[in-house]
Amino acid sequence: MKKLGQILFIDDDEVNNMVCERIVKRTLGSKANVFSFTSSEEGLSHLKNETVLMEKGAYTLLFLDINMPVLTGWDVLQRIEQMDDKIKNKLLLFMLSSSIDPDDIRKATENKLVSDFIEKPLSFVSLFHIMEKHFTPKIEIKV
Amino acid sequence: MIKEKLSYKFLMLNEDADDFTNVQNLLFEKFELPLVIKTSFDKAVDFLTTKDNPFDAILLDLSLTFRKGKHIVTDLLKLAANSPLIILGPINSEKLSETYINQGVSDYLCKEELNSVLLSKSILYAIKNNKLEQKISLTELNLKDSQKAAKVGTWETNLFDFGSIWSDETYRILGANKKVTISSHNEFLKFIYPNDLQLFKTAFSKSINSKQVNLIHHRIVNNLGKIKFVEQRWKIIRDDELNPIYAVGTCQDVTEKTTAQEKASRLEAYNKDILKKISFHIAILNADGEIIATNEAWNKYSIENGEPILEKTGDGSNYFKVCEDAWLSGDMSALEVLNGIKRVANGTSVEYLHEYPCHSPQKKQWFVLKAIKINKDKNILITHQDVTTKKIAEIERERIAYDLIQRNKNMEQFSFIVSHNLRAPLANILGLTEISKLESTNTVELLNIINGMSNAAHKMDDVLKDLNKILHTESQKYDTKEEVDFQEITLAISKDIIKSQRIKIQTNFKEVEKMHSLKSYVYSIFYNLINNSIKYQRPNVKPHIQISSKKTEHGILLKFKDNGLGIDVEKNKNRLFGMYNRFHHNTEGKGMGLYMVKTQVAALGGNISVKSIVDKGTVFNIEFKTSD
Repeated sequence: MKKLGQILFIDDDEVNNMVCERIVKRTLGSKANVFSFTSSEEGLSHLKNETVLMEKGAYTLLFLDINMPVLTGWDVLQRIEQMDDKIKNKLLLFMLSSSIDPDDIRKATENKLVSDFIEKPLSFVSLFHIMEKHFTPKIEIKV
Repeated sequence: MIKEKLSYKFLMLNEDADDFTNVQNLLFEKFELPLVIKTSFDKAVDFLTTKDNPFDAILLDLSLTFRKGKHIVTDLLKLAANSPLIILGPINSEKLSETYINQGVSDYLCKEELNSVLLSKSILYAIKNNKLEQKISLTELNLKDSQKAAKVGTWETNLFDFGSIWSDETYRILGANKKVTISSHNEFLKFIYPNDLQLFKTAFSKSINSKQVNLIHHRIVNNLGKIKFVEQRWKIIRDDELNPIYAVGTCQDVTEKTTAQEKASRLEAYNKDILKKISFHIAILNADGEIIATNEAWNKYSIENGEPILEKTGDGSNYFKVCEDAWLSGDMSALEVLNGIKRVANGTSVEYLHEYPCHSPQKKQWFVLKAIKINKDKNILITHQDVTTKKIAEIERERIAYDLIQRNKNMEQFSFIVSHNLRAPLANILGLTEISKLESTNTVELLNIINGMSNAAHKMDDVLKDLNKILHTESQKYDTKEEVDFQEITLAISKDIIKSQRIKIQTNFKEVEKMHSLKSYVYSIFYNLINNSIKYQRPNVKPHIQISSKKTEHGILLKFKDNGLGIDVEKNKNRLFGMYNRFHHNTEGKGMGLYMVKTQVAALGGNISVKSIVDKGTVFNIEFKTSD
């Protein structure tokens, strides 16, 4: 089981980021490392540069939107692909989108970097399942 | 002793026993054991009416008393038609002899002068003569039959008085009655078809001096008014001093033959014409690929395709070699064609079909080659059929099908985009609702949540408004077109959206001032492009927008140029004109502007393209065809 280091949200939709942060903090506690970015470039540079926790063996959990200006979700995936293995090996990535285009879902699931495709909005239940499946220690949900 | 025959049989009519014995003795002198039967006339009837009259000759002793000689002779000639009759008379009279012979009697001998030599000579001569006569009459009969069968009549014309003798068949051909029509040269001329009369007359008078057999064909009109074709052959007979005396000839009815021939030659002419005129290119090859016949269309096509003297694909050239050469020079399908035709030649396949394009700079063409064996000689019929019309229809059908599939895909994509953009704010609302339930949520947070919900609801409303706009645009497509003045439109838009003196719009519509179009579309296109240039201006750079019009080869070119932020065109080419696609952060855009521009330009039958350099500016070129 993996140890969770930080959680990142890359989405140009601020409201969605706000909701997601709130859900994460409610689930994992207010001191959880949660960062959200409305600009893909900023999100990518955070991933690339903030590697202290990863070097200690902790994982980064990344939620990525698809439809964004400048760099789309697909562009972001390409950039990550070019990053160091040290980063990629410690990354657990989920697409988080309101798209219902079967092409988007297929493209997401076929990508090696992507663990799964999650429909918006992120709920307590879906976050709980991710934590259950991938991370220790077990958490208790308080709703 | 005469021994030509095993035994001669004679019948002798006489009533005087001494005379009989005398004649019998004379016969025994010259014939070897002849059978001589003595009879009275009444009994003779019984002998002569049997089926096979066995007598080689009949001897009549005219001293008979019970009938007058002449009657007996007449009756005997009738009864014994096949046997010669010799009369033994009481007196030596030349006149009597002549009378009897003319009547049909073979000979008349005077009893007083009778001796064995005279009698035997007379009998033998009579027998021989009788046989000859029989033969001749048989030949005459046969000749009549064959004349009838071959429809050949004979005729003979005396060149002094132009009297003629016609055979029965000649009469039949002319449809003339022997009893009514008296045969003569002039009578014959009456039967000749008027237009052929001169031909016949000329040929006949020319023939008088010729030694050869003359031959002409002409028409006649028979007694029933029917036109017949006849073949005339005749020759001039001359006397010892070479003066012409007769014309003898045959007249053959060739109507059936001529009609059949005419039909056949007409049919052949039709077939030739059809082959000539048919649009298929046709050639016949022998089993070795040698071209043994071609039609007009084939040759015409060859000539048009750079073979002025048919050096490669005309008669006598080899089609297999043509295919091989084409293959060697790189046409891979030529090998396939060659093998296909060879398969037909050796009987492996019944027929071979091959469709191929054959485009010239002038026009596109498609053909179907067909090879099929046509007879036992292993000849192959090659046809090239122009299937361009069919092929074009096929391509058009495929294009329409492709268009429809593409449209369907676009519609599907449209619905995905719309649903995504409706679901995104909906997801916000759902998410906000979820966190609002948390007991730790304080008043400030709750206010934020309500704010977020309100924004999301507005976003959804916007999407629905956009949808309405798109549908409206679609329906406007059929509005009436009018003259749209570019300067006027630009001024109206400036008034609407330009609030700052900093923005400079420069126009040049001198070359083309107006276009016949949908005003609402043109307004929307100008509005969105100007609006984009203002929205995506570079910080600290005074926006400068240049709009101009130009005439092009096919229509009008509109150019929109700005000095704004610019877009990475190479990277975003697939998304640039897509719905709800944005390329800049922190602006109010929602990705509808260029989508609308593209949709409306396309609806007007135009084309839009873009050039841009990031941090320099953007140029949009819109080209409209002015076909209407």
